[in-house]
Amino acid sequence: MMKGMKSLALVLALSATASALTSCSSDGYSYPDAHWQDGLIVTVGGKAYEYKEIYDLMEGERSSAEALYNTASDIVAQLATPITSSMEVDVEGQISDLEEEWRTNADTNGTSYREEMENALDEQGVDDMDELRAKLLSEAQIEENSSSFYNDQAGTYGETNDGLYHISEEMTKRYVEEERPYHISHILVRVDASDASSDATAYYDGHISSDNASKISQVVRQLSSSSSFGSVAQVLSDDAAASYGELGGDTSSAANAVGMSLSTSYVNEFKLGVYAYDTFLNPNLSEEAKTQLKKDARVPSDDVQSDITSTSALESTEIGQGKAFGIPLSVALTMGQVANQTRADSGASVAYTDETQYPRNILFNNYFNNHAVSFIYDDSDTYAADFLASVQAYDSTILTLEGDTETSVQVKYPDRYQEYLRVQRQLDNIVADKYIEVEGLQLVSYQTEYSGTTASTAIRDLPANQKVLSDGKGNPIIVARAGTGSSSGDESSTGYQGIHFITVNHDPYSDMANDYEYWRVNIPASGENVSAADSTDYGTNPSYVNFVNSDPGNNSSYQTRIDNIKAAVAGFDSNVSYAIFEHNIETVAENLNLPGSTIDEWGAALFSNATDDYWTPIHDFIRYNRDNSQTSDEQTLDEGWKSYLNMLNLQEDIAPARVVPTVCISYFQGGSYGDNGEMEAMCHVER
Amino acid sequence: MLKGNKIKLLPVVALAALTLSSCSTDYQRYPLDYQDKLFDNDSFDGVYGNQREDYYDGVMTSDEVYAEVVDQILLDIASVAHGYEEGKPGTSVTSIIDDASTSSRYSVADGKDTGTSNFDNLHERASNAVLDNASNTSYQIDNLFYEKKFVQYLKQQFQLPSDFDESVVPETGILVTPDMTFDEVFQGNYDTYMERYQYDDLTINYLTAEYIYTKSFPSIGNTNARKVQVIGLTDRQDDPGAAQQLLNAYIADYIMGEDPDLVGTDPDFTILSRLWKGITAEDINALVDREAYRTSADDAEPQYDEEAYQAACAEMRARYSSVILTDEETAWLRDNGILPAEGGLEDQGTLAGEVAQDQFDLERAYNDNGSFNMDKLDTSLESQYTGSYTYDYRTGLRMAYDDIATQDFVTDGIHLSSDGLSDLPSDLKDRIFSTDITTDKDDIAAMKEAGTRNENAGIDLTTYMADGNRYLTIPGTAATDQGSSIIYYDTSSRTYYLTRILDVVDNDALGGYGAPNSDSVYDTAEKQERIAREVAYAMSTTSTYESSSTIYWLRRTDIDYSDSDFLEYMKSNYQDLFRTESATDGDPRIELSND
Repeated sequence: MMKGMKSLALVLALSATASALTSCSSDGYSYPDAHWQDGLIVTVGGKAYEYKEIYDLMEGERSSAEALYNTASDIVAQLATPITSSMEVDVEGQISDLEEEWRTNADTNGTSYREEMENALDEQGVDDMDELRAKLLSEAQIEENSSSFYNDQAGTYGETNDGLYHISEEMTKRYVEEERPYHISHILVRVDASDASSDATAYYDGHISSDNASKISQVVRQLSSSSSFGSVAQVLSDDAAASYGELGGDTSSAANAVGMSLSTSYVNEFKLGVYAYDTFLNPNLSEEAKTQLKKDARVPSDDVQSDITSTSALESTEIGQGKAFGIPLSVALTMGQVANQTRADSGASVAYTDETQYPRNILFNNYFNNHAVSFIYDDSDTYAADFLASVQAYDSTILTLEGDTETSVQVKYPDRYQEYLRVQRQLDNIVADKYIEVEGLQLVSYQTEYSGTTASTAIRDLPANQKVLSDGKGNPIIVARAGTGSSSGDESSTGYQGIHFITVNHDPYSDMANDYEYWRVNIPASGENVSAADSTDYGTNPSYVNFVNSDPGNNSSYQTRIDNIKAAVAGFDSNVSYAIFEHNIETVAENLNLPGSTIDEWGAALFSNATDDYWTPIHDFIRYNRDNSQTSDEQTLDEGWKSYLNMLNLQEDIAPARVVPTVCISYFQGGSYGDNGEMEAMCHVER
Repeated sequence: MLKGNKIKLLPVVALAALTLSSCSTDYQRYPLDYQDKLFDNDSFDGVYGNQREDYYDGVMTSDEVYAEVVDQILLDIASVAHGYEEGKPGTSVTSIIDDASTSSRYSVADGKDTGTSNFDNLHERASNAVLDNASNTSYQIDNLFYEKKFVQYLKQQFQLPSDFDESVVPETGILVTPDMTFDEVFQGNYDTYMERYQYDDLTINYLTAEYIYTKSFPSIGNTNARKVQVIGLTDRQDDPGAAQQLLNAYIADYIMGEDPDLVGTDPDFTILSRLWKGITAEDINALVDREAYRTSADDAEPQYDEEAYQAACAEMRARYSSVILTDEETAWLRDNGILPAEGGLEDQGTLAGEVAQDQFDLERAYNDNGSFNMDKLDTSLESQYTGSYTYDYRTGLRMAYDDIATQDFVTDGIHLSSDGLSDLPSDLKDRIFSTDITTDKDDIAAMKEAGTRNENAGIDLTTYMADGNRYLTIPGTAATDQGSSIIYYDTSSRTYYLTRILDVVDNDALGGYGAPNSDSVYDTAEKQERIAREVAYAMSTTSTYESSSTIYWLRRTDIDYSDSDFLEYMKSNYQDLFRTESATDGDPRIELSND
């Protein structure tokens, strides 16, 4: 008894010592003990501060909603994904590895296996091995649930997939409706048109190299021949040549996987130029389609409520008035003839001139240096008369093109006459069918009116019903000058500065209801009993995949294109985790046979009850994040439009009055601007 | 045997004893329902992760929990701390004096404001904090503040109260100028939002101020604080002296009283700011391109849609409605030769005048007898107003007027000598905080008499003017030449400054706690307390005082720790709370329990 009491006394004494050790006093500080009571943090001035009180403060806050969503997401992912035997095997393997790790660490650290295990369980936030096992299994289910979402889902949403669509037909429809992908090709001629004197002159006094001029001319000439767009791109394009000019193919980015979508970051002149063409100039789109396009692409209009752009800014541009700039085919061909001309026809240098007066640059600035939408039009019928008029503007004694007197171009200006003949020959050799009429298209250009030695240039309408260059498949080729600097060394350079020749292979607004079918992922086949969807015939059953011919003996080119679509469809939704969550809710609702037919109804049934409404904050969390993404995307488009329209308005404001008129070509070629200063002033010649 | 047993027993017992008092890893630091299901749905049985514990982990970290606990304790203390006596709760620290709505504009020394009877410091300060959001570019488009973007942000953060009426939030943006009030900028009701997200921090500031005032009174005087209004007008580079011309005219009429209708009518430099900005209706109308409303191609007799044009001008003027000069102000500027008598864009001696002149110069080239004249074009000017040729020049002009309209030339309020007024030239700042600014009430009374000085005043760097304000003088000028002696010019920044001294706070001026100096302008208990508390609030956001205040107030309570991790948190962040002794330990213990 005494011994027991002594033992007890000893224990008590030791406890007191131990307590005293923990509430030590040193250097003027004294630290109290903590006396743990479940749920209680501290009592101050007699008032208890509990954990519940503090966590209740967070109710209704974003962190609470996010925590609810995360927990709910994990739960439905597990419910939607049964545990498989392979998952169990994997988990057991993980546990075996952990056990081995604990043994090793115990030896290394001089601790015990149990200690290492308990530390590890503590880090995992579990109490014991059973709980660890359950946690690892849940993680396996969640991972499988996420990755399997991207597998083709047969029977999803009650529809049969039949392997036609990646993930599901519904997902492809969503992709098409939210991204509106254009299957698009281009030929880029990179142009070094910088001018060191000022940024302003880039709009009306850009200087291109002779190679640039030659190449522009070559591209137009080849496109006007029987060569296909793709073959011209393959040989001449400074971008996407390997893919015959087709844009896309970057599977690391959903926005760049198949062409141009709402999320793709192309230069404004390209991307917004295409949207502007479709909105204001494309006669093949219905009004319904154009209204939808305006909303999707945020085209400044009454259909779009934007705080960044203004409808008036668009309406004050030529494109906003339904007009495009016209580039005469003869000008494009003449560029090739004068590409290298830096002296007068006589070979003498022309005094007080620089690159501004070179014929190629005058043509470039009057016709190609235009950031709005342009088209090449066939002016074969009027070329001869126009050429004669241009010489007459320089020399009023000229009466005819041909002849044997000094009143003919042929005699008085033989070099000019040769230039005319070469261009005329090229005009005669074009494939006329490549030039098509676009209903309602009104072209404009810089047109100069001369009064003696003064000139007044303004943007004026060209005669109606011009035929414009197409890709041979009925698609007009849009021409747009992008950027104002050089392709390199300019701080605004993006590498896509230059002249873009654009053709739309497939327009998402041409048949909105069925557009998703273009993006099917089946391997096309040929044969008698091939269904329409599987056909290799692009003409009758077009798809992105069968746009090209397959490689002989294998389907690698088809497969590459299929992979592009998969990347686009799988990756377009930056908030795909919410789509997966909603898909899981639907699956669970179906499995549990829940009443209702919407995500909202099922979500409320799963996560709310009479006392706790957890579904509303979860739903709001998803909605606000999606809204935020949408707002951000809209803002990006709006900023792009604002920048684009600012540039177009500025260009149309300053360029016409300052561009060197085309009559100055003749003066340069003639070698002199006369004795008075008026022509020099008109042609920007500075002594 | 027994000894051996005891020896064997000892380490185990000691270990157990230590374990009992120090083991914290097994404690569940959550509300008591942490093991309950989060979602009460039988279908979730067997699913991992449906425990409230998992939810709580996602909501807050442990440090966030503990920081929130400290805040809640301080808020509870703040509600009773003022005048707390042993066993008898005091009142809230937030409503002792009205120090928010008028403190930056009025002088306690001059007795210009003794507070209002119905004041709400928290609401005023919270409103000002919300108003600061108007200058956040995240909520702006093209320099215009969009309240709906602010609302959208609050919504995404789950901070928009459910009772908030979004229908009153305008769709359009406004140009927010420095003189605009909260109600002029915001249309929605943010009372609930401010109560939830602003009041707590402000209340804790007031608690810190209460600590400073009651327990660290000498530190208030040590700050050598000044309540000032300083306006700085940076001269035009293209028209040097324009600012001085305006200032001279302003001083003559508004300060020295040459115009009895104007003297003293600008208590916070709002009028001077607007005069220097100089944005006239005519300037803004010129932003609208009349040619865009032309309806005929006949150059000889052009026709215009006047109604549409005038509507466009009105819309543009509405953007600048808060800063456009009134007719009287415009007339005053013309009378003083700062604006041309006949109107027009040229020769305006204000900030807007430079923009108007640039417009005039640009358009001379654009429309030289009906055509563009390259020889008259200043390309660098054109580049400036087109953003290096990314937009048209009218857009650039408008952006320039936006910049002018939104500029704030005034620095005001209470500033401490340790870190205040750092944006001012150092010489000016040194002069403001100089000790050669008297607080003797007799000296000041004499100074207020026009043209006289108290012979016993000695050196004083200020002078009272006819508008009733006390101005800082510049060095080395005769007191009789008071007109120009109050303009401070900083050559490096080409900026002219006028400085009003509203209050001067040092130990001599304040006196002791509860014992005002009868020779000082703060000679009454009311004045002393008011200015001291205003300065104390300005000091309250300093981390040193925040920490000292927290420690002081907590030491006045009895604390019983349950969570040892929270105890460690307090040791780490407020170590002096655990000092064995403190000079204030005799202060009444604060009880927070209602029991």
